[in-house]
This record gives sequence, C-alpha cells and structure tokens, in this order.
Amino acid sequence: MSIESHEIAHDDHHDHKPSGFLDRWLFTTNHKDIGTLYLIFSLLMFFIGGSMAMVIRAELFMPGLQLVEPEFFNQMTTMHALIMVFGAVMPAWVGFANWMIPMMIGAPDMALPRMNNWSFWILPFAFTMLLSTLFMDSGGPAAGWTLYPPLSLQGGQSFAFVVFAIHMMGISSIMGSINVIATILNMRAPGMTLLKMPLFVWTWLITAFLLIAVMPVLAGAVTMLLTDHFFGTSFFNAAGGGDPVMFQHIFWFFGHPEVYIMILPAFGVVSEIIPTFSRKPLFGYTAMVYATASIAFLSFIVWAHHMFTVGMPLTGELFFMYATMLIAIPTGVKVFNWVSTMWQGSMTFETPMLFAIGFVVLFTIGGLSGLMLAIAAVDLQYHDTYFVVAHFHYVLVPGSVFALMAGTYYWLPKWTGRMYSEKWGKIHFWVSAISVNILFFPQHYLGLAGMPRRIPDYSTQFADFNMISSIGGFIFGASQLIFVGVIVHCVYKSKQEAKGRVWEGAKGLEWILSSPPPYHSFNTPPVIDSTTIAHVEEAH
Amino acid sequence: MALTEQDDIRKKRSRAVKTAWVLALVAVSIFVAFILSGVLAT
Repeated sequence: MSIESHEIAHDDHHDHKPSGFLDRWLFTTNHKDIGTLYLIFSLLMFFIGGSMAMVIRAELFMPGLQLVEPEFFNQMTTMHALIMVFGAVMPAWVGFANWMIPMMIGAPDMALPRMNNWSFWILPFAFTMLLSTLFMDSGGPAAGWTLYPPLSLQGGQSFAFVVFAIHMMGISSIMGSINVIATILNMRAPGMTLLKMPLFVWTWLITAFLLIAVMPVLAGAVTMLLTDHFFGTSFFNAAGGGDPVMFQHIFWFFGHPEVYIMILPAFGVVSEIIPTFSRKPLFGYTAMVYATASIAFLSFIVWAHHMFTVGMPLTGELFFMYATMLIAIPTGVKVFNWVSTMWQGSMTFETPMLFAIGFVVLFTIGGLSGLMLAIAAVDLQYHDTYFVVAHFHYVLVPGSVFALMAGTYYWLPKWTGRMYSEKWGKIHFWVSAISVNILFFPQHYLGLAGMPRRIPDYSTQFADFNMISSIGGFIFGASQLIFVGVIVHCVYKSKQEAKGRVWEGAKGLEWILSSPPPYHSFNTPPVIDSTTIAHVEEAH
Repeated sequence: MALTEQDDIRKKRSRAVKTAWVLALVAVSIFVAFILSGVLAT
C-alpha cells in the first residue's frame, strides 16, 4: 500500500478546536498546541539569551572595559548560560517531543495532557522570576551557571529568586519527562514495539530517564545553597565544617548528564533527517539505540572530569579520564552510522539536510576537543580557558541548536501545512554555518594561549582573535533573524501547500497524516507495516 | 470509535498514571537522598 493511500485526511469539521484564545492556549491539553507553546517560548528565550551573548561579545570586541561594568558582565555570562540551557535548548526539545512523539508512535495525545499544560505554563513564571533579578538591588546571579560556592553565596537577596526559578524549571522538566516516559511506554499503537520506534522517540525516552535522575540532584544542590545563604547551614561553607568541593561533585553529577540531555534528542532528529534525504534506511538502527543508551550510562560516571584541578587522587583522575574517553566509542558509532547512511545514497541537500550535515561535521569538532579536555594532564592547562568555551559552544550551537533548526525545517511543513522558502532556508544555513565558525573557532586559539573565561577585560595579545570572534558573533546573531523571517513567512504568507508526506524519502507514522495534521490525530490506532516504520532494516 | 478502542485508551491512560506515580516517587526519593546525604555528612 502506498504512503499516500494511507494518508488520513484533515477534517476541519471534526477538529473540536477550542474557539477562544485563552481556551485554546492557556487551558490547552492538546499535545500539538503545547508543543507550539514550548517552541515559541524557547525561540523567545533564544533571542533573550542571544542578546546577552551580544553584550558579552561587544564588551570583548576590544581589550579594556568598553561598555558594561565587570559585575554586570558576570551577570550576563551567568544569565546567558542559564537562559540558553534551561530556557532555550531544553524547552525546545520538549516542544519537539510534544509535537512529534504521539504522532510517531501512533498515540492520540500525550499520556497526561493536563500535567502537560502545567509543565509548560510554569516556565514563563520561572523565567520572569529569573530575569527580574537583573532589576533588583543585588542584581542577577553572577557566579557562573555552575553557581559554585563560596562565590555564589556572596550574592544578595535576589539569590532566593534564582533558586526558586531553578526549582520551577526542574519541576517542569521532571513533569515533562514523566509524561514522555508514560506516553512512550503505554500509548504506542499496537505493533509499534520498542525496536520499531523512530530513533527520535528512543533518544527522548533515554533523555527523559536522564532528566528524572539528575534534575532532583540539581534541586538538592541549590536547596542546600539556599539554606547556606539564608538559614545559616554549612553544607558548603568550610568555616562551618562544610565542603565547597562537595558542591562541585553534586553539581556535575547533574551537569554532565545535562549536556547529554541537550544533545541526545539532537542525535534523534539527525537520525530521522539523514535517512530521508539519503533515501536509505538508517544504517545500524539497533547499534544507534544501544549507543544512545551507552552514552547515557557513561554520562553518570564521568562528572569529575569537570573538576580535575580541585586535586583528587591519581586513581580518581585516571578513572574519570578513561571513563570520559570511553564516550568517544558510542559517539563514534553514531557518526560512523550517519556517514554510512549517506554512503551511496541518492542524496539531496534541502535545508534540513544541510543543517544535519553541518551538525555531523561541527559537532564532531566539539567532540574531539572534548576528548582533548578529557586528558587530565592536559586539562590542567586548558581548565577555565576559552578552549573550554570553544569546546562546549561547538557541541551546543552547531550541535544542539543546528539540530533544532534542522528539525524545525524538516517538520515545519508538517506542522503548518505550508512549505517554507527553500532559498531563504539555505541562505540561513550558509550564513549561520560560516559565522558560527568565525565566532567559535578562534576561541580555541585564545584558550590555548591562556585567555581565561568569564573576564570582561584581557591582555592585548588576545585582541585580534577576540575581534574576529565578536564579528562572527554579530553575524551569527543577526542571521537568526532570517530564521524568524522564514518561519513567519511560512506560517502567514506561504502559498505552497505541503503534502502529507512532505519529503520524498520520509518514512514514519507522522507522514501518513495530512499536513497540517488533524487537531486530534490517531484516535483510531494506525496500522503498523513496512511502509510506516521508519528505521527497521527488515522493513525495507 | 468502537467501545473497545475507548476501553483500550482508558486502560492505557490508567497504566500511564501508574507509571507517572512510580517515576515521581523516584524523583522525590533522589531529591530527599541528596539533601539527607548533605545533612548526615555535616
């Protein structure tokens, strides 16, 4: 049976969409509406966090203090990270999960729709509270997103708002993860066994378990900071018998899996896009699932590579060094499988594919610099330099953010029922791909030359590379306006209607629905057969 | 929609609620364990 003959028509008469604005958006329990809310929210946060990055790069354009006070600069670096991690990247992936997971597994909605609504709507309050600290007397948090004591405890009264905001973000993430797991484990269509699920669903299932395991750890850490700050306890206060290094252990037990929380769904999206535009099934589907699970497991036993410089026993350093290097193996499996999927495929290079290939190449650069940082003896030199900044920005920007953009271009026609401008999508990709390298690649050299991170002023020897980096940053920031323009044009102006199966090589349940899909999809479970399963080799 | 399908969805949602409670319990236990580890250590 052809995919087209499967297509389930969009019937406006039976949509039962709430008519009022508040009913539709504030009280919604529909997974597609909540997904849209998450995506709009994360785009807004992306621009707020991005404007903070522009302040940072403007200040670092030249040596000397140019534009902002050092204290405000520290607030900008801290808030930029908190907003990008918790406000932009994580909610964007939850938005994708909401939109796509029910459609990919043939479920009518998420398992717990009312909790889904609550998960989203506490986020705007959390980030309003976090941002409001910038206008308080004691200012916003300025100790870095890691909130290391004793520095973080020297902040003023606004610190309580920061802790409360982090708690709310954590609760939102945990509720979202519970919903994802409950949906995937219980709501799959008959015949959709675990090893027939699309890889995006698999990566999200594993990500959700990571979130449930580590977000309470962060909550515990910041609660102890709160009581140290306001109630006279000494969890991390050496003068009272506490241990500030203990905070670093607890924080990074959360913090390292957090990195994978931001990147595993990106692996999933890229694993959907590359087979589509290579017109071949994903190479090594089962290996990809096991590689994802292995990365998740290893992420729990490598945390101390972030703190080699605190001084730990040699056996400890060796353990964390080798455990970290082990992650390169399942990650290498993934990169190998993406390249093998493309090998001898009938490839075309639409915008989602360009971003996916950009992801594979540039994320790998970030992975390799991570391998360098894993070497304990070398890390003593690189620690807290711009080399680290370059490393994690390569992982997160041309890594996570490029995958988010790839996913947006891939599914935007499905979501809206209209095609975006391919020409402007490609312009967006090329300007982003070039400028992101101008922005972050010179930071490797700055780090190797010894420039510390989180400083508003620097020695004149670092001037040239900083100027180049800032120019790249301004171009990258401005180029994201093209992204917004493409989306707005697609939603409101585009005249080209999208087919149900938008892309010729696309397989999976979401493509048997019309574009846009019905407000309530798969009220009757779909038939799972070889034309609707995306990645199982036997099916092709 | 046939009644059996509605029953099926109802059963699935009921199982999902149970899954959610177990996961929530795990999350709260981890939070309490980390706080307690700090309290007992000091």
